[in-house]
Amino acid sequence: MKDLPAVALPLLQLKRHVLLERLPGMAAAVLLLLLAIGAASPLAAQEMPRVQVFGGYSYTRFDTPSFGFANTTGLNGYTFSPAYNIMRGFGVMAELSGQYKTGANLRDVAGGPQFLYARGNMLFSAHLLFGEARSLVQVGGPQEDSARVVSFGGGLDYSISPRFAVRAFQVDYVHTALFNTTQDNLRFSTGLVYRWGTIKKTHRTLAPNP
Amino acid sequence: MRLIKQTGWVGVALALAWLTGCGGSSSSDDTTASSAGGNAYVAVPEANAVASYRVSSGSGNLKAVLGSPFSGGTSPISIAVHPSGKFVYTANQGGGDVSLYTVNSNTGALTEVLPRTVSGLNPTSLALSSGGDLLFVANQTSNTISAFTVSSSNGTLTEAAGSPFATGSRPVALTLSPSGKFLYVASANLPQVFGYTVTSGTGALQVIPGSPFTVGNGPTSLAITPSEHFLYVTNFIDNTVSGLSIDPTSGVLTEALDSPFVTGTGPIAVTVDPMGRYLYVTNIGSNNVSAYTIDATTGATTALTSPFAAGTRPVSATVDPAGAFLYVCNQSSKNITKFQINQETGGLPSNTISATTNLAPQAIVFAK
Repeated sequence: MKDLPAVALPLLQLKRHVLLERLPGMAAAVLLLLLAIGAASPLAAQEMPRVQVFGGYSYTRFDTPSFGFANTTGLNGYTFSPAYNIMRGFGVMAELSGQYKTGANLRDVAGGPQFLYARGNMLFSAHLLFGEARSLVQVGGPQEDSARVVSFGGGLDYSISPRFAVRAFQVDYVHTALFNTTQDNLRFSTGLVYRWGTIKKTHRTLAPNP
Repeated sequence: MRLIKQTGWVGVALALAWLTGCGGSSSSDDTTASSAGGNAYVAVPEANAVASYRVSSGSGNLKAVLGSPFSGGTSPISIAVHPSGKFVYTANQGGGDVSLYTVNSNTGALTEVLPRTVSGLNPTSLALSSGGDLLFVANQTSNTISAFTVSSSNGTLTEAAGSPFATGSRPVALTLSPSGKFLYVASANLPQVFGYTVTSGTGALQVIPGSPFTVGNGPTSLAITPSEHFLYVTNFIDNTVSGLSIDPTSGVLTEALDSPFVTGTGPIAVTVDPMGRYLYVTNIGSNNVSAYTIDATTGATTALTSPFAAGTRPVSATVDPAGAFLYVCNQSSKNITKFQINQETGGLPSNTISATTNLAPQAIVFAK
């Protein structure tokens, strides 16, 4: 809290008093903790994380009409992706993702470059991944296939502390070549990002006039 | 460093542009029509199965659904789809029975409902009423017609009172008039077509006075115009197609003006477009399709500049419900040819291989 403006401290103390008076003790404590984390200095502007590990919920709109279904199929699951940023704005990431529904699933493992742009507490990202996808669909018996996957997408992380960010959203176009045809799938993800290490922006200093 | 970042963002922008900038131009043609889409089913006797396809709206291309073909009875040789689209039926030549399949509307998959319904020996052709309440099966070895009522809720078959009904020697094909009033049966051993009136609701058959009616030698297939005015019969041995007018009250057949009409070699199947304008005959001996316009008054046919080349051993033909395309099952080629129908002339100006079935397709039907 050492970097907060002076006026913020009394306000924070006032909020703490109100919460303790009006809410159950445990809930108040949780709220205070979140407030402290949010008020704490987030990842300072212009700094990028060296390592990111994202884990969260994913929803995929599976392009099942590509192999004869009348409608697309919604799948729910997870995405886990670690990334290592080699320099400011550029790194590599891997992805392990799986979405499921009774009678169908879609899973993939992929990797590739990612590009980053930081602005204030927000970190924008874009990536292009290549890998393998697998799917099992129950139609007249189990139909299973594996094929290449190309995934292109991006997201927005919002810093809530030096170590954590909330990935507000990540949207991916996931192109697969399963079941002797191709699919244009869409995936939405959200969750938590754990970060460590920073890549600071280097500042050029002018040589003094002779 | 900056170059890498810039290159990366340029790549992102290009990819976005590619994703959003899709689409091409298409030109419209007043002489062509578009498919309404939907589902199609193909009997594949060698696989003891039925293949299920999605029909692309517009282009009419066939795309096999995942899991197709779906196993069923032994040697399904004739196929029909219930007007609700929920059920598919096949006459199983090798099993002496009829299979009922339920259709999964989302996946397009077919699931056979067991046990199968016993018909006569060597069932070769079946016809379903336009209302989906009656099903008739020609039993080639038994020389009978089996009649069934159809449950609207689950598609199951119940044999009609009095069934099976005796008919001519070796009935190979039958067709039901659109109104359901008349049933006509081609007898392969005789140059004759047997006619019956159908009792609505029960499926009982009564012989039409004057039946059987004389046609050419080796009748193999029948088709009725949507107006119910004319019946056409392929005469396999004579290489002709007979045209007959139908008395709307009695169902009596009278040979049409200038009938019979010359076809290619080995005319084995005949079909009429949904508007009753054009007639198509597949010639299994000459591997082509003969096309004709139909005179709405006399039933006489006029041959177009045809025949149109098909695959090897074209065994059946069906026009899609929109009247846009003619689909021909080619036994030896093991594929299905799709012909674009010229809406002004009935000609078949272009064709593509719409589906490869790996095993010989026998017949194709479309859900409306």
